[in-house]
Amino acid sequence: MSNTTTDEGSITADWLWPRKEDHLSPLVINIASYYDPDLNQVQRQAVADIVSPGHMIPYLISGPPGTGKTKTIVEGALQILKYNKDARVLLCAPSNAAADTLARRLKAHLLPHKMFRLNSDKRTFAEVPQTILPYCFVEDDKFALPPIETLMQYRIIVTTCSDAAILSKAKVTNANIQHARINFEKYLNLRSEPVPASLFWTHLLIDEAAQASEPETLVAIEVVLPLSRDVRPTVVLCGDIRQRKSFFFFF
Amino acid sequence: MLTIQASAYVPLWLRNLAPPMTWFTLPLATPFPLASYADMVIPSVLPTIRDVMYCNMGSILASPPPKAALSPLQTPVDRLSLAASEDYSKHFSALLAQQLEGQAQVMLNARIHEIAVTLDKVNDDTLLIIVPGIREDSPKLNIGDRMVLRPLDTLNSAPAPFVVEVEVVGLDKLKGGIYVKSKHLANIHKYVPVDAKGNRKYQIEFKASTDIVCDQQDAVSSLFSSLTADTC
Repeated sequence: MSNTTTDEGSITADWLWPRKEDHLSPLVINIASYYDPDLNQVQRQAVADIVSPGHMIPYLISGPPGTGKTKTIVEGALQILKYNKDARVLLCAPSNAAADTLARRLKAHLLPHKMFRLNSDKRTFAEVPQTILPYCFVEDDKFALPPIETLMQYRIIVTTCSDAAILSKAKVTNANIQHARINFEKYLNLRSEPVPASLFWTHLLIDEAAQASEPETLVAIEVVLPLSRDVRPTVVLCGDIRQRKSFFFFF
Repeated sequence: MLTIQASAYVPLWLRNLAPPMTWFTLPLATPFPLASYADMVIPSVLPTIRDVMYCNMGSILASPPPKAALSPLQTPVDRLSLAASEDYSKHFSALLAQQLEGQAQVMLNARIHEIAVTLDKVNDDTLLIIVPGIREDSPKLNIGDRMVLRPLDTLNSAPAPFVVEVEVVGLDKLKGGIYVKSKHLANIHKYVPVDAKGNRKYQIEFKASTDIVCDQQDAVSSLFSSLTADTC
């Protein structure tokens, strides 16, 4: 059996139904220094794995409460930005409170022009921690999306899995941007040979992923899903599989 | 399984309130982001993935999938087959439709017949309402859901002839607080008759927003399109 997979099939199938042979050891990057010096060896290994390119299937970080999953994913996000100058990270959590926690931890290392905390326009200011407000965009007394040129400059966007739909509705998804680029170049007859694939979103990290239902995570996955199979973003799911949320409301 | 649940005593007049004569309803929510924003990202002359996808996809609200008993989804034998993609899409569409129905039922059951409401004005049109049950997710509210408040004159056992619809814009579950947006409520609250203890009381009903489930259905549809693109 060949060890090089996905010559056939789609990325979606690889992500939804990963096979053993899809797990390829990525090219490991040696991290020179850590933002959080208290990370233990296992956490450092997970960070190195997240940063390393070449993941064919989602990378899972699982552990009981208090084992430092969130600080590992925060460190991972920071190291991705450090080691990949073209990286753009979508960092999600199932709830606003969890997404605020991620933004609060990241803000110590990132200026407001690097990180954006994306909120629903319906969210009230009183609910958002004061320290995060400089990382949000407000227009007409409501949370909003910044102008597209500004939005595309951010290196990391933090939001909830559900609010990631805002990016899909704004068409700021990998598939739409790739699709538009191909069409635009065809439209203008810019080139006849195939366009080299590139990703706008290079990484999707979901914290507390076990607290989200599968369709909830699909909302975030839709944003990073590429059009072509040539390049694929790294997807990291972090959570405690023993604390899975029930899908339904019981009544 | 036997379920025993205590039921609270609700006076007859509260159980059978006459329908209100006036509704202070909220306008339909404006889409966020506006379509014009998406046009800035990708000019409308170019088709996008969603434009293509929506030609074939039905809405979970307009045409919900038929009700059927659902069993856990198994990993398909041939993950690249069209049947695998269809099974996945049908399974989650059916689950989401059931979730939507369950959510509506939960909201219906969560009606609070009589509660003293305190309003703290946060700004011009945002108010904080304390509803203790919210601490225990009863009902489970999300931003974007709506509440319908009907003032009560408990001394005369009479409801107000009108109801006010407000939008949930934030939750502070530790305090049992719900932030709501309404221009009418703050004005009306002053005129709600106080009871013997000086409280202003309301009957509250909840309406779940369908936005979240619809967004999830869109994501399922999108993934389905992506799966079938390689299998068709």
